[in-house]
Amino acid sequence: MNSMSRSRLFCLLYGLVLSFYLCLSHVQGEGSSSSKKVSKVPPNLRDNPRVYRTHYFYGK
Amino acid sequence: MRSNCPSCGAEIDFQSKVSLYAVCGYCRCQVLRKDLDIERIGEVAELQEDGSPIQLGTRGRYRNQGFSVIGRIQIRFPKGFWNEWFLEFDGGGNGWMGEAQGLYGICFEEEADSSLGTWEELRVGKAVSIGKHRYLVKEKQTARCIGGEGELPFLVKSGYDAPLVDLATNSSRFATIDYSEDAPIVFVGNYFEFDQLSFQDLRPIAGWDGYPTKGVPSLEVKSFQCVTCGAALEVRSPGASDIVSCASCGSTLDARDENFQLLKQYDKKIKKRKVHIPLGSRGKLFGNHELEVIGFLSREVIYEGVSYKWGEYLLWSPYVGYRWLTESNGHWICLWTAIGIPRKVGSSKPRYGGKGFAHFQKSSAKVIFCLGEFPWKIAIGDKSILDDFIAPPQILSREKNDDEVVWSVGHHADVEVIWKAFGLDEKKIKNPTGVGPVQPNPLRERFRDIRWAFGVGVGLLVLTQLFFSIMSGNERVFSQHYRYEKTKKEETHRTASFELSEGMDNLEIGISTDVSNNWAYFPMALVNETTGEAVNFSSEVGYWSGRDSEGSWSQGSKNGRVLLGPIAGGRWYLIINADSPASSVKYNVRVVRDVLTWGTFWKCFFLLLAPFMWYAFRTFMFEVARWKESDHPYFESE
Repeated sequence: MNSMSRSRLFCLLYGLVLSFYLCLSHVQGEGSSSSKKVSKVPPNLRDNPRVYRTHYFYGK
Repeated sequence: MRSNCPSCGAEIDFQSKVSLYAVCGYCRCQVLRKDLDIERIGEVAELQEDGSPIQLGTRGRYRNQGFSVIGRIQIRFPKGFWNEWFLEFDGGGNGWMGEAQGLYGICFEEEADSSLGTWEELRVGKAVSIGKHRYLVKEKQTARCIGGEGELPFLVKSGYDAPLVDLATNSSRFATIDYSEDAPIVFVGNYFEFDQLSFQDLRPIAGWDGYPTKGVPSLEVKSFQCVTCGAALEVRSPGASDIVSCASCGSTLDARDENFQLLKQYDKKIKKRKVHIPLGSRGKLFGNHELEVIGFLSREVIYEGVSYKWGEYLLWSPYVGYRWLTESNGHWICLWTAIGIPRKVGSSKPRYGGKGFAHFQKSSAKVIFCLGEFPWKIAIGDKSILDDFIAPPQILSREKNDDEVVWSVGHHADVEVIWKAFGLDEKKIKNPTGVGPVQPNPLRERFRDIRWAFGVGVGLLVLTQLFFSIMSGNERVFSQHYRYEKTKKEETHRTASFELSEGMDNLEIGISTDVSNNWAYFPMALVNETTGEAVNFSSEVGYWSGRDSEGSWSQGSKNGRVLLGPIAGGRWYLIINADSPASSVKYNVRVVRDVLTWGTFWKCFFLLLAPFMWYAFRTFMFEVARWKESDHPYFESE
């Protein structure tokens, strides 16, 4: 295999890896905005939006 | 028909039916064939030694037809000798083969058109139509016929002048018009390479083995002493060279003179130039033919007060003629005379051999040093105008002086190839500096691959994105209108629950508001009804507009968008809070499941673009360095 076909192959592999990465991001449900996850919100906070706001949105 | 010379009795054999005249090879007596007898016409002058590899009896093939050389007329031009060999074809018929300095042109007489014009009317560069073809007048000169030998179809008179017009096309086709008689005689034909004519029974030349020759070598290297300083000198191409330049004292001697008469004595202070390939070295650089270095000259151009010098090696073989090898800053170019005239010669982009060339440099070059032998009377101080056109790795060069315009074509040669071809000492290899005019761009091939891969990569990305755009659900799962009132204390809402489909897909939360010249901030939480898991996020919108002296303007947006992901399936609801200095804001919240995203696509695109741009930049910079030394640099220097 000459150097020309080697570099073509290398570039092609690079393109394939990027395409695979794009596939993966779509399959995994890519999001773009920053968000903060809370593992479990206590029921009393969940059911009371004002308390939730105070506790989580404004950190009191 | 066989007969005996009426003068010396030697046998004279007429091979061709059309040959009326023959020259006796022993006594130079010219005879006329008359039925079965021959008649003495007179004597023909002795021919000059011109180093030709062709001889009477040489055989060759022209377009699948064999031919024999049966006669010859020798013509002397200011630049050297030219032979017209009379050919007898195996299938019948005759033709002529013009030969000089390794150039072979086979031609046939064609009926002259009355519209050809007179000798005076044909100027160099004028277009002339002969038959179906269009030619350009390449050269006009008066040649002197020295004499002839063998069989000929007409009487050869020694020492007469023949006004000749040479015409060329942009291919190997050529024509010659002979004005030596009342009516012009036209010959048209094609030039051929030595190998294309499959010669046999060539003239043997001492020191040049490996060619199909016949007979005993009659031409050898001439050794002698310089008439000025006594240094040992040689004429390596006897008959072909006009002058020999002595390396020791700089004298120029007449190579055709028996006593090597002194032509010119130069100042001994002339600085000698470095010669990388010694005279007499032989190497194979141009196909399978070995060539010998017989001469070296150095030329100089002065540009904005700076002197630029380069060396030119003259290579020669008695069979394939002359070639040039130029060296500048360690960059080597193999050159030979172009057959035919390139197309669009008046433009900056002439075409030759189906390829376009770009103008590189125009210069007025002066010979500053010469060494060895040359087929013309070279002199230090000789000037010529050079125009180089390039299509790397090829070059097309036009050299113009007071007498003629010569086109040469050539290509780049790696220094290692030169060293290996001539068996030079690898320790003394001179590595090139900078970028040569026709040095191949080493990145171009790789860049071509990168460009190809970039195209394929982008294609793959677009196809992937297209596939997921078709596959994306884009399902609206919730939409509700709300109103924010600054005076009300209750500005936080808990939405109704909504069902998200199974799987890990993304989620878009869109907010549309009616804010005007104000802003609104929405901290939100997406809460899983079953597990209590929550995702906190926020969106801020702001929109301002107005009118000023330049007209109406607007800034910001009334709408916001948050993309969350990945979010698992199940029942979820939103907790939405609003805050704004406005007294009231109407807003709509909608939730869309599985939307098409572009972030990763663009990330991948730029990752592909990066190596492409890097190679494009490096390839471009190589060309910038190449053209920096030309008349057309990419960037003008200060």
